[in-house]
Amino acid sequence: MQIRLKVNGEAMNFDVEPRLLLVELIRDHVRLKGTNIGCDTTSCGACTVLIDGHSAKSCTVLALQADGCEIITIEGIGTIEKLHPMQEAFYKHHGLQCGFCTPGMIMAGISLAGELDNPDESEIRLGIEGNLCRCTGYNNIVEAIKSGLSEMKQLSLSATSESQLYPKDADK
Amino acid sequence: MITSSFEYVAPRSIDEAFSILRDSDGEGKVLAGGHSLIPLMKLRFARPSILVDISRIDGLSGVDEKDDFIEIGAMCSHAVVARSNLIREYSPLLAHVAAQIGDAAIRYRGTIGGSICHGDPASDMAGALFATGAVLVVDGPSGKREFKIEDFFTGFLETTLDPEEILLAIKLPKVSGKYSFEKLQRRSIDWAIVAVALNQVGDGLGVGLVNVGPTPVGFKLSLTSDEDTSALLEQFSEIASSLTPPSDVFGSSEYRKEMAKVLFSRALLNLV
Repeated sequence: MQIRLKVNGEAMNFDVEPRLLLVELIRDHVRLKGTNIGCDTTSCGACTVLIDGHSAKSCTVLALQADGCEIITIEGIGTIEKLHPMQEAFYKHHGLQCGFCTPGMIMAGISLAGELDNPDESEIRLGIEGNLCRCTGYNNIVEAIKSGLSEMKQLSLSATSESQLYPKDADK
Repeated sequence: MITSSFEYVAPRSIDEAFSILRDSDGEGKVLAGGHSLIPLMKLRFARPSILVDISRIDGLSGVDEKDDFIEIGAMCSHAVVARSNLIREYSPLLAHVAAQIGDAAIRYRGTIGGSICHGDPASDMAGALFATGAVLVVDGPSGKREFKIEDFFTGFLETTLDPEEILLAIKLPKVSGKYSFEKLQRRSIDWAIVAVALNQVGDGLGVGLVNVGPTPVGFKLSLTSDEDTSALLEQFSEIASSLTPPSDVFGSSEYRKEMAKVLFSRALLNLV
């Protein structure tokens, strides 16, 4: 079946089998491998992407359900030269160890920008309850998200529009 | 995990959806947010041959105020239910419970209608609907029907919905009484081991119980006075002794029964 959607700002058309999952579309058809498949059962959050600005577990969404939507993956928010503030914060606060959960953690963290204003630690912990890290504690991740959200706020970045995700004008 | 093959249709109108369901000879299954159905399909516990995605139909995802009730479209996500000003004002228990379902990503995709039609006894939302005395509005070939929540669930993952019918909306009486929700879980994303939802409705106390039998359960207790908690506990214990909760790795049936009583007394103390 034909679908048309935007991935990281680029309009794309695909002919997909109905049972193709969004995460499979992203990894195997768009060929973006940053979005991971962890548990494949809606539990771990490694496959978290933004659909129209909101976090979604892409292992539990059919590609067809995303027809017409704007998808943002970890590849769509920053570059090696210019990291997204949330990525920068994970780097600064050492918010990762093996890195497998990180793309999902970062996308879940960015999604919180649309939900919480100046969240405290417990709100952030609840906000990422659907994202599991098996390496270490969550302390640095929570610190990173706190700092990333406050940086996003200062730059007036939101999760709901792809054009606002990456601070293109911030360089000037 | 790969689901079995199916045909997918996304009708643009409710009439189109009805005609697809009618032509599918009972093989059609309605897809809402997919956060109950798709996991089951991936495990191949469910193998519908035609999936009817109703998310592209207008008019199923609003929250409207009527005279003495509010009407919640079946396609409202848990995130919408948690944040709707109308629901927070007229049925605060529902918003409070919706905010605790699954996790943030699940709440954006999962819907109130999908959750109810799935018929899972561990559904927090069903417990809240019992406590508030919800009415479900269903449409299909035999016309529009309304069900009290207590007449909707017929067995484990089974409801009274005909395969050709669609849940359109949930009607909630405007309630101003105190409410509380107590949920026992090991980790915050887990299903409730047991949960208790309470809402004062008129001169009674609406009770919804989560994961204490094959279907969601609820009943109304009579309130004689605010202070009389021992009488309420007695009424509750009597009903709790006839429950048949499941036994699993999270707890035995007996444990769940005991915890239902503990959570009920906590919920009484925490009414706000």
